[in-house]
Amino acid sequence: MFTTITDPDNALLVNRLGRIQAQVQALSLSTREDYMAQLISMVNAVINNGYQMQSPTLITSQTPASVGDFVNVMLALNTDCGDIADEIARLENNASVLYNLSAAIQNSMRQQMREAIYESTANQFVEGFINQNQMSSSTATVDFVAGTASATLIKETVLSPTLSVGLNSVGTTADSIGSLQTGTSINLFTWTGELLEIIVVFPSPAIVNRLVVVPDDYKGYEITSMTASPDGSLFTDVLAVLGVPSIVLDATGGKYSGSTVVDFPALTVSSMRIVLENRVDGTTIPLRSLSLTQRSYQATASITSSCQTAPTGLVAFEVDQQVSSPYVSITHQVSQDGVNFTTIVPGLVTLAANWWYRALFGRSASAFQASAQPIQPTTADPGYSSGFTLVSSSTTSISLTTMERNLVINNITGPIPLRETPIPGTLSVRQGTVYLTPSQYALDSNNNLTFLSAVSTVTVTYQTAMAGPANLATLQSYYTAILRQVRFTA
Amino acid sequence: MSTVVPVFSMGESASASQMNLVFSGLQSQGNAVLQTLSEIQLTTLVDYQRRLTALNARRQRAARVLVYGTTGFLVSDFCDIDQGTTTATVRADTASATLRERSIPGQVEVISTTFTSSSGTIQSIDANNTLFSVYNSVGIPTGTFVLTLAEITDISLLTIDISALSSSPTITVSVSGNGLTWVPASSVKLSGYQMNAWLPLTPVKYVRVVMVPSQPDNMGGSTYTFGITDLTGTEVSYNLVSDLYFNDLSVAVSSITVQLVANKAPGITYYLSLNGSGGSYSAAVVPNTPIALPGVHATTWNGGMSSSGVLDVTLPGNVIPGSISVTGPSSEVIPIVPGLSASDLNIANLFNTYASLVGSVLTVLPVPSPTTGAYSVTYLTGPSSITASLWVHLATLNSTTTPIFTGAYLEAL
Repeated sequence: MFTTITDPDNALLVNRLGRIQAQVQALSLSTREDYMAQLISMVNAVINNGYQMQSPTLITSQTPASVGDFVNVMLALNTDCGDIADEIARLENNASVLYNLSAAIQNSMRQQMREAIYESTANQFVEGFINQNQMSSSTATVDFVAGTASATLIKETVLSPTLSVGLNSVGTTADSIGSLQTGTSINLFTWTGELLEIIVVFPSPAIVNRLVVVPDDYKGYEITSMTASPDGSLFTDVLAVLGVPSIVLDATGGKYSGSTVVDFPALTVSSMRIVLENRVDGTTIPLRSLSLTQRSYQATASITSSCQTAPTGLVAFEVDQQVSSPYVSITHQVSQDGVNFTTIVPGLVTLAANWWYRALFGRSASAFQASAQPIQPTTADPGYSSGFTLVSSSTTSISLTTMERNLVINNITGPIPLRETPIPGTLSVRQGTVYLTPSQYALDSNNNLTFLSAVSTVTVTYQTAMAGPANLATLQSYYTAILRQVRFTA
Repeated sequence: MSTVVPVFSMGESASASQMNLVFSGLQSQGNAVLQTLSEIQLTTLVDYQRRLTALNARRQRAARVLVYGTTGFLVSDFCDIDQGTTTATVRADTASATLRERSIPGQVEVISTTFTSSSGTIQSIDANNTLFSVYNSVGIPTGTFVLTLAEITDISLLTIDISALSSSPTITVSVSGNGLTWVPASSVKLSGYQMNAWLPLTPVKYVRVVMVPSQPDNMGGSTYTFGITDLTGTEVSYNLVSDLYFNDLSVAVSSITVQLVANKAPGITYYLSLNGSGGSYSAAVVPNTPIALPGVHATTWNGGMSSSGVLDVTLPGNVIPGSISVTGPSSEVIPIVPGLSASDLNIANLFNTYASLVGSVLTVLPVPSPTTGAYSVTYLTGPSSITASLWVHLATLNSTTTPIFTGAYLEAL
């Protein structure tokens, strides 16, 4: 049976023995037997006292008052109180150690299961970027939580926006949504209802390229809408940019790490709208944490596997990656000697008896510079190659967040693809000094400006967000390609 | 918890009994606090023990997470072990099996622990100096523990509990009787937070454990936790021969050959029984060499298709589901879609080409134009699953050392 007094670390025992040690050293007795008797007596007194306060000395009534009657008891109480304080500190320390050990065991077990799921076999090589067991060298940054590789991470800043529950939410909560921003998973925010709209507002426009959501469990939760705006006038549909209708918050979201990590091309954001839905029973949406981060990257990086011996011969090569052409890209290569590499593309490839895989992450500075132009370059696109000539382009700053474009264009024979989305109601077109009526031109959802009748030189004027596509060049260092998985299957 | 104690009033006569009551009340209050603390400690420990037991149960289940294309013969639990015929010693906590142990229990008392790190800043995170946190933003630090035992003891097996390290840490153990000459452990097996180190029987005064984590505590972080929370040591001698038998396991067939992936330690011999219902074991199996699965055959068909896209191949009735592979005229692999109807209205909207499998009919959809290309179909025939049983024979010439079996699995080739 466990008793606290037999715990050798208990502070009462340790402190009391420490005190008699000092008393023993101060003893001045005649014989060895005297010392032994005194020492045994003192130790016995401590043991007999056990896990209890010291008994106060009784003050005898009807006797002269003695200072010692009072002081000795107060001293005993004082030392006992100090010992209790030490004991509380010890128990707190022990509890924290047990907590840390438990957390370490759980982390270890979670990783054990992840590694079994993404294990390579004789028939297939899988690199899920959840550990470095199959890597030999890397300048790329490997995020073991998300299970991704990217260009070298320069800096990651966890942003501190204000979160609030949007008016379109369906349900209620008794918790504070602000608790999601602590960056730890010890808080629980429970939304009772089927739809939660989270409005994220930054104190000033910030560059954002990662969302991390930690759900409390996995019961069919999805991010069904995620839009961001730099100024409240221009909105970017992040899910459309990623090419997905929704993001499922299940165990695979972060490759069984517990987190769902969403990397998206960098955006300048002043406000964001994230809609989560419960697709299973519509009862609750429990979340542990939600954070938005800003990650900047080097322009290039590489990651190379260790020498592999399986599979070999004709195999199917598959990759799960996120690239934003023409800005960032990944080049896949294999080698038979670890030195000379040949570029491969997804499909069938032939692997030698010994082979190495390498991924090269690249970022095109020229593509970002070209994006600063208000009209897409057309020389590489036969469809638009002779569609128009940009005579001049000028920009006027309207406010901190809005600017006005003035484009003079002639030789128009086809659609004019604008890079920017005009703020509704601000687009105007004039020929000389005569403004064309809206029925004479059309702007489709891809920002292609088309004239419905022949025109000569026109001046196109519109207002747009300063931090929209025109601002793309300033986002350059926040762009990277993301490599999620590489698989060679025999 | 609070105790009502008398309150003295100004001008009141001094009273020894009143004073004694005050002190007695304070003592009772203190004792009540201590009683509460004791209960808190007991509750915490019991709760932790209960949850640790649950964690260990899950750890054994985690070891059974299926790896694609494999069937495991595991010693992380006793589920698949034929305990009636097995004579080897199985240590499920560290997923290992050895020659039968004849242990002499020993009492190992650690009187001091020192910890050093190859780099970074060390911080002790418990009062007993058993857990240490190392902050290192540059690389992965190597942590080294040196434990000093109270007295020199003959030890050949150390069981060590550590603060669990994620992924695949590298851990080496060595022991010394004098602190100068170190004897490395002949084998170390870590499973979760528990570790066994097998040693040549040697007098031990010092134990050195070197840990190289493969990942920080938190992914992307810079903190590494090192800890040794328990250590026991025993002097063990072994039987010269022991056997470990597994029950029949069901193996899903996905290839005509498999290989046994296992450690090739001297003193370990493997025998495999395929579809043998136990007892009829093969000749010794060499790990990592192809083994033909009985009754399974591979067939390759080359030919064309009808005008409706139906391939002219006749699939036999015992074709193994999932083994069919279709290759198109340009050697491209055409994905199989079981049950896709050729008359489905959405076929025309398919972006890629698929091979629908309905019954034994393979149809390429959308129907290519022209339909004159050469196609290839490969498939396996035979039983969709077979039974497999493993017999692990352990032997040694020296009763102080043992070969160590740490699990094996059959892998489709």
